[in-house]
Amino acid sequence: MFLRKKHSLLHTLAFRLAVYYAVIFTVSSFLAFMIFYLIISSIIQDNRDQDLLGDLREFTAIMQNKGLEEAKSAALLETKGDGEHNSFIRFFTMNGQEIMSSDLSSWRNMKVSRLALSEISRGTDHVFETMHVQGRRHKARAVYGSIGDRLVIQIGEYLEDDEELLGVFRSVFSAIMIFIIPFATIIGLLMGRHALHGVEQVTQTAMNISTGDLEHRVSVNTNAEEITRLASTFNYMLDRINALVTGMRNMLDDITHDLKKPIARVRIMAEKNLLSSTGDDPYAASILEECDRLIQMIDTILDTSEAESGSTRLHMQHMDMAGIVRKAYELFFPLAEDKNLNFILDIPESCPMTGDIHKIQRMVANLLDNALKYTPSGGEVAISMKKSDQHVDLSIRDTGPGIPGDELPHIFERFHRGDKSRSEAGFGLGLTLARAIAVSHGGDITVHSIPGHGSTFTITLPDR
Amino acid sequence: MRILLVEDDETLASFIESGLREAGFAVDHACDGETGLHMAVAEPYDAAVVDIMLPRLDGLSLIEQLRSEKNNIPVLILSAKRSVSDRVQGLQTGGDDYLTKPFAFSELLARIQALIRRNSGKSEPHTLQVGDLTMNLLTRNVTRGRTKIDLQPLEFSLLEYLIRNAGNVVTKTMIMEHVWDYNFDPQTNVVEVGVCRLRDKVDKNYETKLIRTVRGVGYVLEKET
Repeated sequence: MFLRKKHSLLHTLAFRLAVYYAVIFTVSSFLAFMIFYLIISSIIQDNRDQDLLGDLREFTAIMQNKGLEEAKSAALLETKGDGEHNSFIRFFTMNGQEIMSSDLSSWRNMKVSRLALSEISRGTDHVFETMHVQGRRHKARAVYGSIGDRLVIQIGEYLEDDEELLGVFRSVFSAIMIFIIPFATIIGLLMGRHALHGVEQVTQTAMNISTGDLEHRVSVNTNAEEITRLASTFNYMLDRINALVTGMRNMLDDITHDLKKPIARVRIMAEKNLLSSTGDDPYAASILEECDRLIQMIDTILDTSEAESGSTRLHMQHMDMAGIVRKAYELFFPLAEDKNLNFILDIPESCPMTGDIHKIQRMVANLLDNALKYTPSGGEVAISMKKSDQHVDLSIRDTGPGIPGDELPHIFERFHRGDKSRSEAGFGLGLTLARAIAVSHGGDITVHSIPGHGSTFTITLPDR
Repeated sequence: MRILLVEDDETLASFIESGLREAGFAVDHACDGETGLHMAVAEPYDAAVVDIMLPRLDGLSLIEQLRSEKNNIPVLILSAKRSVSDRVQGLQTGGDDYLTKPFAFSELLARIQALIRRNSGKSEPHTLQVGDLTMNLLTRNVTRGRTKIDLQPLEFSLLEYLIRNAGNVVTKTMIMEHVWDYNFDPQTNVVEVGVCRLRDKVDKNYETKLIRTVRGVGYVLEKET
């Protein structure tokens, strides 16, 4: 149960805000550019059309005033002036018979729009047409119009300038868009970070508290009203928790003191009796033993509650985990030998880490106590240790009766004792305390058991 | 040897007092911190046993005032609080040792004797001897009579602890704490098994048995044979 889980960046609110911001900003910039582009291109086309229409009016006037021949020569002059590459003029009869054209060497395979001709013959003043020019990059724009005598004139202009201007717009826009996407993402990230900074502070404080430090408070000096309210609510909650925990600690201290006082008296009376009497006093010896059991029980309950509530002040030191385990092995070895057990130790030479030595000793001893107690004569108890970058795993495997599946979830609960163990001594607190110690060190104890074959308890501690 | 006992629990105090008298000490008893401080300043004591929770002046303040007046009498603190930080605070204030209630009288006695011994500044001997049992701390040789006894490291430490407290009872808790550096008792009888092994090597083949069990209390290595 490691508190600080690695959270993926993709799931943070700040990242999502940044993505939303980037998408909205990009899409709206794109839309703005599109609208601008459409307006510009329609203005350009409009100008071109007005230009063509002006030419059409000019030729209509020439035709009316000076006749067809004059119009033809004017057409040749006009196209020559603009350049035959850039414009052309053709004259048709109403049924599409071409009667004259300017130099069409740059305008290959030009069709006549039947649709336009029929519209003109029905009396429409002019018809615009945009067309592809064979073998050339850009399009052309042309106008058909009647110039009297059942004749139709077609004036066309090549759109190179217009389209190139629009092309420049397009490339400038795409260049800007390429910058806008990362820019918007960065701005979004910064904004998200800034907005969530207060939340991050609250999280940091909560983390510190989960390690038992109840004195921390969140700073309420933020610009955002929501964060300020969150922070002050959180602080209020901390005040309450702090008051409760302090009250509970004091109460536990008082109970301990008041309970231990009479026990201390009883114990010293029994001890004096035993030390001074010449023979054995069976009552005094029993009283003494029961006193010691009571003291142990009170201490274990207190240790467990303290470790579980996270209020233990751990006395963290550099220590050698392998050394502690080896010492425990030596301590329990004669016991295992007397019970005719195969007691195996397989651990690395050393394993430096940080922890509360006495608490770790107790946790290891409790598990060994259990394993040796429940393994029948002739069985096996094996200790093994694995060290990885992140944590240390200490496993204690026994060939005892094992734990039935329905009991497994409860073995770490207070005063829980399996049916098989009722005849043995113990308070049913050993495993609870061991686990509470592991958890208070940021680790955990897990158990794997096959009824009839044995159990394996594994202590996992973070390597700090 | 004169001991000052500052303890407000009358029953407990009377038992400690009589126990220490039987062990050969002269004992003065104060019921509150102020009286205790006056007595400690007025009379020359060899050691003081001071409870922390006292009426009128608490134990820690008492020690603080003693130390500020350059009084270096060795002090053993008694307290119901058993956390490491309480212990550290007690020792930092100027206490020389710390014992949590409820305690075994045998342990209190052993600690007082150790405090006085330390304070007297006698140099540590290289050889410990009780009866015909000899232990050399440098060569780690153990002999009984003329026979050499081979001991495992833990058995050696256990025997050394018993010899150092020869004549006094040592409890299981004391053995766990001083020989194995465990401040709790495992539920299984590791101490009994350990002492049993030691007996096999030290006492089994000899007429006079050195290690005696005091039922319910602990073990004692007999001084006089």
